[in-house]
Amino acid sequence: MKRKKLIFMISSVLLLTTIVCLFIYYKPHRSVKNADASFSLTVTELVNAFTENETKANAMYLDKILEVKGTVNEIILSDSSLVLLLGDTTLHTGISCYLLKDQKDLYRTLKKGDTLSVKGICNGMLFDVVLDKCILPGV
Amino acid sequence: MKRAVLVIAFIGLVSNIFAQSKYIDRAGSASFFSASLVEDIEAKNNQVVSIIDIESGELVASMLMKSFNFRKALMQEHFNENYIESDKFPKATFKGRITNLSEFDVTKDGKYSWDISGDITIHGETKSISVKVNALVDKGTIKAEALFPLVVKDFGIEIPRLARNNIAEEVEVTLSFRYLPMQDKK
Repeated sequence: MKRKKLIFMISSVLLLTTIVCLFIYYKPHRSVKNADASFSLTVTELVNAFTENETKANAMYLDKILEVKGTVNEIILSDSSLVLLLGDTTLHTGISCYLLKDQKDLYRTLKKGDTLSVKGICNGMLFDVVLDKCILPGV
Repeated sequence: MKRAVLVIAFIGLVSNIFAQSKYIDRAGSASFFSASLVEDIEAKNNQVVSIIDIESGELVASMLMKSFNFRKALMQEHFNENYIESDKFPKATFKGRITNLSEFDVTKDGKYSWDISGDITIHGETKSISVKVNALVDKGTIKAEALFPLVVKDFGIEIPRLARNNIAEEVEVTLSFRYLPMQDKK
């Protein structure tokens, strides 16, 4: 009787650890769609934050979901993704927004000069500030 | 007076040539592949920015390490936190030069082979490399592709003994770009 109990305990512990391990191993990627933005700001604010002090901006915005409002300067359709360059006329740099793959059809409806909000994960600054896995909440 | 007009026209011509000598790709891709006994690891980054100057042959490419996508979120986390340390070293860069530029003509469609040598910086460590790049000119756009191995240890990335069966010491790197003429915004 005691032995049965012991076997039961050990096997349930084993099963539990396996399940936990599998959950960690197959942890899903972050989704922007269902998450709220940590910061809501304009292109100018975001670009200025990065050009003034990149380290500080990285600490504040890196890996966070941001909602950024700005004007579309350029639309690039590549094999892999649709990229929107947001900026305003006074800035030299802007924001590159790499849209999620399933948003690619938006190519048909978007125009240069549109003002819109983009929600995505901030990956840092390269040539522009990079927003990844973006969606357009208003469209 | 005539000379002044000529000079101005000449400057205009030269700056025009310069403006057109630069080509850019903002959505280039970089991927790497590690084959090992336990598992294959593959990651892709579709947000590589690269600029070439076909007058001077200079080429730069830059990418954010956080932009690498893995099939498993956990792998991505380990890559960013334990190996590449992307909070400390957010970017990987390449600065180099096409050494056989004389054979290249952007006005002629067709296949070319570039020899590029330069410095690559990953994880804060810089290493000189030479690679062969296949280039294809098609109606004013330039496609470029390269494949080369990189040794993980060369860039000061330690693989703990426990993970040694899971991660290859040498990874295959693939780069792919489609360059368009750069428009200077004023």
